[in-house]
This record gives sequence, structure tokens and C-alpha cells, in this order.
Amino acid sequence: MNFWKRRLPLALTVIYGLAGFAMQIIPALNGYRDIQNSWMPILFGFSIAIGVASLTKYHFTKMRRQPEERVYSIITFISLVVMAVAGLIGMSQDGGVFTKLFDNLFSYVYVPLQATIFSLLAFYITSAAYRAFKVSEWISTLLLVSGFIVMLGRVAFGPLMVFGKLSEWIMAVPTVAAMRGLLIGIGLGIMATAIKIILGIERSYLGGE
Amino acid sequence: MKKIAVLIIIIAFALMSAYGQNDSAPIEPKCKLEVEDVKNDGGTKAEVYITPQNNPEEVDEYNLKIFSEFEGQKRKLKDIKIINNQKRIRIPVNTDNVNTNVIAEVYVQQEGQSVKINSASVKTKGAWFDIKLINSFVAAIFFISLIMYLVSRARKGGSLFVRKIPGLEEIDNAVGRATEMGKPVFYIPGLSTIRDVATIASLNILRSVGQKVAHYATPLKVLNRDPVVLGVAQEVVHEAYLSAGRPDLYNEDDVYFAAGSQFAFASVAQGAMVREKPGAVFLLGMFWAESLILAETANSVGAIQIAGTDATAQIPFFIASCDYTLIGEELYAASAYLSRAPKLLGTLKAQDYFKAVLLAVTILALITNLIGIDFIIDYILK
Amino acid sequence: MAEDKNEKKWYDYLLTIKKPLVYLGMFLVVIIPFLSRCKLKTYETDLVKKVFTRVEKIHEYNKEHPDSKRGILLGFDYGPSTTPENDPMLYAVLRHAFLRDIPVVAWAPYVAYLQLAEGRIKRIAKEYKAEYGKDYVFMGLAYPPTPYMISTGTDMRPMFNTDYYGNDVYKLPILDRFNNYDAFGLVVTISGTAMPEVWLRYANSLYNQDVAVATTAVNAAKFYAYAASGQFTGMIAGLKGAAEYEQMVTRLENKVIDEDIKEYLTGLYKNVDKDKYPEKYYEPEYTKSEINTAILRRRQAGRGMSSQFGAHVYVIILIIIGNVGYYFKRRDEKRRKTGKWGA
Repeated sequence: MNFWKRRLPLALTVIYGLAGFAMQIIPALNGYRDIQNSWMPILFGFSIAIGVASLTKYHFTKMRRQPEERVYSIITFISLVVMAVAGLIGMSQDGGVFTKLFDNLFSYVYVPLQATIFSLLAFYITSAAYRAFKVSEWISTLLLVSGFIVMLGRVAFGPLMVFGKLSEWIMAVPTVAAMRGLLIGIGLGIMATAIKIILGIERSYLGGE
Repeated sequence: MKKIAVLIIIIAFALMSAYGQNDSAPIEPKCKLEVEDVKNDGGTKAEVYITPQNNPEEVDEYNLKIFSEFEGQKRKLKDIKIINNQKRIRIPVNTDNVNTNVIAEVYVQQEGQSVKINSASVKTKGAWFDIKLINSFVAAIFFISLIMYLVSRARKGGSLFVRKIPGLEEIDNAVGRATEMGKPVFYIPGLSTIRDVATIASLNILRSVGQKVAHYATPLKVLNRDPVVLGVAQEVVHEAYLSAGRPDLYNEDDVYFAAGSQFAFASVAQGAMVREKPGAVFLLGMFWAESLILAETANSVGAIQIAGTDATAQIPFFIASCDYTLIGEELYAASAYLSRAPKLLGTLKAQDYFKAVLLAVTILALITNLIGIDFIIDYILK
Repeated sequence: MAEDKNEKKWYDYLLTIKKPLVYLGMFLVVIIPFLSRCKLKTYETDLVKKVFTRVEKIHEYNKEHPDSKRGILLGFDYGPSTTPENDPMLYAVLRHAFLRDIPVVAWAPYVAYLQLAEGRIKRIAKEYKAEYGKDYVFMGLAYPPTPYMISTGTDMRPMFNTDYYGNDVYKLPILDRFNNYDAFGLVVTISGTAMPEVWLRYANSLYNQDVAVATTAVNAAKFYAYAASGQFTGMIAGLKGAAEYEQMVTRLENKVIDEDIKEYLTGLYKNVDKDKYPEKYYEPEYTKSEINTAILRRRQAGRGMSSQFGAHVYVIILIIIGNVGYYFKRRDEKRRKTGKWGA
């Protein structure tokens, strides 16, 4: 058990980590990198099965145990099956009824649903902005003022153009400075974590210490 | 009479010029052809340079044919017309294999026939070290050595100070509060794949949260978007419950796959939060536009929210709507911070020292640049 | 005293405006300007101009080197959720490329983006009589994207085998030349995600490829740093950036086509060899409603800007209202406290 759950994954991580590093700096190994890259889509394909299995199991259990939420699970399950069947059968018959069904479900159900959830942001942003932009200390006042300038600046015209120029400056100078600081820290953090993982120092993600 | 004289003169000149033309040597079409292997590459690229050496009036166009020859098989790669503008023209060539002969041949049309006037070839070779990456390579080696040194120092018992990170300090309180209220704890390890370092950092924190939750016997729900992350998360939570001595409380269905698409996931999480009203919500890992939707919903159901991400664009949203936010690298520091394991603290310190070195180099570059010495800043910017 | 405390003051009303009311307000200020088809003219910024100029430079280069033309590699890196912001960017960039006869190779990194990408790309290709397989090609899915980006360093074709429509990649003439970074003058990633960073890491850092980014306003804050350092060759940020690019392209289009757009589209496929445009890619003719949509599409971002103006001003007003309430409440509380202590 320990071998399959700990040692083997760890050994694979170390081997592939070091190989990845080598392939990056040795151009002569580019050919191998291309081979390794072409494995990835295949591996990702298999992972979809895990997702579908978990989703199905979760919703079946829920249908049994929570009758009041059963209807949501049924909708989820039907959507999953209809979309998958339409997609799979439609793939082999160009322009057939299943292709049409899939296309229409995608364009007129999936796309608007996604856009709807995204557009909720417009509403949430009002309540979040209201909480964030409160004048209590000088530093939050600064945030408030710069927020005002940028918001007006993005839609500036005519006499508001002064805000346009100011907002460009805020975005290009103070924001970039802060972002760079963050990005350098994040970059180093990513590098350190990657090295920790490759060297086997960090292994909590495998479940153990 | 005059007219006749003029006519005779013109005819004489015409005859002379025609005779002169016949007498001149035939034009020799010429061009310079260079075929070079591209250095520093995987060994599949070459470059062909052609420089016409005739006037455009003499030869108006050349025909360049490029072939690859590998293991005895010759294949035509390009067949290009080169309009003679007397400039050196570069043509990049890609072959399928390393150690391929790249052969270039130039033809011109003479008396209706295509005549070869020049040819050249080169064998492509793969480089054994990408010299452009020397800086990154040296920095990586230096960084790894620094980590090794500090880890060994930490193991020997050297004390390493880490400043307080409020978001991580509050994990206990958040779980405690959810327990008091008799509400579940929600954990979302970001929406990215396992390839993302933020996801791995989040799974490291999940272990600590799992142990605390198991200790208090509070329900824990982990919502996943990526199937691979799901598998790992189930394992992490299971192990956490085991190490806390409560494997009986672990239910595999509590760590589940919510949805594969970004906003479908957001709506599943929103729905679950509104229905189950969690006492604490952890949003740790990689988030995109759904960050605010999740955070605001958690806020509206009155949960304590601890968020953390390295997605810089989402940090402002988390700060605006969450109680505690781990900013950028604080997320990566979490596993060292929570476990206090010497080897992890060692890497954390190495990161700080490396950052100090980078900062020192940047400041040095700025100062030298101000006093007119440019080579350091030029080197960095290169 | 206790009664005083419970009594609602005017500022309490300001601080407890019901959320649904706030949300309704937002809905109205966004929807009214949009439906009334107002269009807001916007000022043009350097970062957007940079992208435009870069595309123009490719056009100049192609004019001088007709045998070794350069193309644009387009990363269709956005999904259904960010279409309102990203669509106008895509339309403007594609219009520019097709207007200038620059070959376009496109791909999308996720399944959910494929259909969107296909529909949108052909829509614009049709407006400029671009031939599939010669002037443009849609490669289809490039998932996971990283290996595809790396492979384009040598040749992208082996990774795909076929394009989106199932054509053999070795039989499409456009891909004979446009299959690796050497042939592309620019990569344009139109994204609502973090994909531009991936492009930067691979196409730009590994292969020195110029990458321009078109992204949502939320993500733009992060990408400004890269754009400022020159790693991104310009940036089209948010609806505002889209509106700027849209303005520039429309100006160029008026100059190049020099004809009323309605008349241009009506006559576009008259007297052309229709065999060159198989129906599989798009139908080589225009209906009236299609022409109207095409005209509306030319000012989509401009229209969006008017909604954005409404929304921004609305949020500012809300923040002012909130802060006024907050300020007076705090002042009152302070007075009350000092009053108590004084007694």
C-alpha cells in the first residue's frame, strides 16, 4: 500500500520533474518533450471518466437521501446524459438531428447560462465595492479616490478626459509597481514549491506529511 | 539628300549596336547561397540565405528549392521564387528529424530551361545546452543549493523565524466557530488543475483543515472542479481524518466533483452555500472571475471566509469581500507555516534570501544606472 | 436613551438600502443605454495603438515580401461567459487581419470554446471573402494548450492531425507555411482567463514570439505589468480597449473599402466563383438580416461603453451615498460616546 500510494508517485514525480528540467535546458531532447506532450491529452481524457463517475455517484446518493433536493439532481443527471449522447452520436453524423440538438443546446442553453452567471458579477461588484470603499482611514480614502478616478477614467469623454489621463497613469505606474512586487513573490514561490515537490521535500499533497 | 544621309547614319548605328550586343559575353547568373544550422535549437532547424549577384535586368528571378535528406530519403520542403531585388533574403527551414541534411539549390531560367547555378547543404544538429537559459540555470542551481543548506540548518535545530500570517492563524477560529454554530465547513481548492502550484499549496492546507475538522467532528464539504484534483483531495482528507484518529467520520461523498465548467461550478457552489449555510468557507487556490460570486455568496450567508490565491487579478475581490485573505505567496508558505516542519521552513527561508538577493541586484542596477553605468541593467533587461 | 438608540436616523436608511433595490438599479442603468443603442466615442490609448500598429507592420512586411508572408496566430482563449467583453475584441482584430489580407491560424484551448470560435471566426471571414484553408484556418481543440504552444516552435501540424472540420492538416495550403512561430508576425490571445500568461511563458519566453493580449478589464490589472515591460506587444483591455480597436479598424475599413458597408456586403458575393467558398465553412451570400447584424457588430463595443458608463457612474453614486451615511453615523456615535463620558 505504501509503495503504490507514496513511494511510486513520489519516484515518478522526481523522475518526471528532473526530466522536465533537463528537457527544458537541453534542446537536443526537444523530440522527447514533444512525445511527452502528446501523452498529456490522452491522460487528461481518462480523467474525465473519474469526474463523471464522481458526479453520478454523488447525485444518485443525493436522490436517495435528500428527497427535497431530488429535483436538482434529476435535472443535472438528465442534462449530463442528453448532452453526452447528442455529442457522441452527433459526432459521427455530420448535420444530423443529434448534431443540431447538440448545437442548439450549446448555443441557446449552455452559452446563455454561462453568460448569466458571469453577469451576476455586475451585481456582486456593487455590494463588494460598497464595502471596500469606505472612508475610515487615510489609506482607505486613498483607495476610494483612486477607485473613483479609474472608474470615471475608463468611460471618460469631453470634460472628463482629465480622469482618463489620470486613470491611465494610475494603471500604468502605481498598479504596475504593486503588481510587480506581487508577481516576483509569486514567481519565486512557484519556483520554490516546484523544487520542493521535485526534490520530494513537500509531499502533503500525497496525503502524508 | 540630307534625309537619306541621316537615315544611313541611323541604320549604321543600329547595325553597330546589334553587332556589339552579339559580341558581348553571355550573362552568367550568379548568387551567393548560405545554408546554416540554427544553433541552440533541438536540431531540426536550419536557415538558408540567398543573395542575388546579378542586376535585376540580367536575371529578374531565381528559383530556390530546399530539400531535406534523412536516412537516404529525400523530400522537397520548399520551392520558392526569389524576385531579384539584390537583397540578402533569409528563409527559415524546419525539418522533422534531428541530423537531417538540408540541401538548397538555386535555378534560373535560361533559354526556356531551368538550370542549376548553385547549391549548398548543412546537417542539422541538436544543441546540448541552451545557452540562452544560462541565467535561469545558474539561478536555479543557486536556489537549490540555498534550499539544501537552509534545510540542513533547520534540521540541525537552527531557529527560523516566520512572521505571523493572520489568515492562517484564523483557521482554528473559523473551524471552531462553525462547530459552535453546528454548521458545516466548505473548502474549495481552487478551480485549476493539479498542474497549478496554487492547487498543490491549497491541498497542503486542506490537510490541516481536515485534521481540525476531524478533531471537532464538524462536517466538511470539499467541492472540486478538476477530476484529478478530486482524487487527490479525497486522499488528503481521508489521510487527515486518519491522522486525527477519526477515520469513522470520513465520507467519500463529502469530497465531490461539483461541475467541470467554471460558471456551472460557481452556481453549484452558490446553491450549496445557500442551502447548507456553512459556518466557515475556505477559498484557497486558483480562482478566476467566479471568485467574487463565491466570496459574496459566502458573505451573504454569514460564513467566516478565509481566501487565498496567487491570481493577482482576483486578490482585490477577495480582500473586499472576505474576512482574511492570503495574498500571493502567503498561500505557498502555508504548509511550512502550519506544519512547522524544519525542511519546509528551510525552503521558505531560502525563498526569502533569494528574494533579498534579487532585490539587492535590482537596487544595484538602478544605482549604477543612475551614475551612468549601464551594463548591469542592460544584462538584466536582455 | 434606549429608545433614542433604536430610532432610525436618516443615515440609517442610506446604509440599509435593500440589496434587490441596488441590483435593480444596476440592471436599469446597464440595460437602458444598451437598448437605446447609444454609442460612446472613446479616446485611444497607447497600448491599443501598439497592437494596431503591429498588425499594420505585418501588412507592410507582407507587401514587401509576398513570397514569405507573415500571419497571425490567434488564441481563441475565452468562453461563453466573457463573450460580451471579448467578442468585440475578436471581431475587431479579425476584421483588421482580413482587411489587410493577413493569413490567420486559430485554435481554442477548451472544448466549450470550440463552437463559439468556429461560428465567430467564419462570420468575420465571410465579410471579407476570406477562403478557408488559404486565408484562414481553424485548427480546433488544443488541449491541454501548453504542448501545442511548445510544438508550434517546430511544427504544430503533428499535434493536430486534422483541423476542426476534419481536413488533413498536410493538405491545407495555408499550413504549408504557417505552421510555426517563424511564419507568424504576431500571436494574439483573446482571453477571459489566465491564458495570456501561458502564451507569454511559452511562445514569448521560449521562442521570442511577439504576443499581443486582448483581455477582460478584470484580468487587465495583472497584465499591465507585462505590457509595460514590453513582454506583451500591446494590450486591448476590457470593453474600453475593444471600443478603441473597433474605432481604429472602422476608420481603416472606411478608407480601404471606401464604400457604404451595406452596399459592400450586398455586392460581395455577386459575380464570384462560388466553388471557392464551400458551404461547409460559410454560405457565400448575404441575407438582409445578416447585413444588419454585421453593421450592428461594427459598433458593438461602442454600445457596450454606454452601459459601462452608466454602471460606473451608478457605482460611484452608491459609494458616495454609503459614505455619507457612514460618516454621519460615525459622527453621531462619537458625539454620543463623548456625551456619555462627559456625564
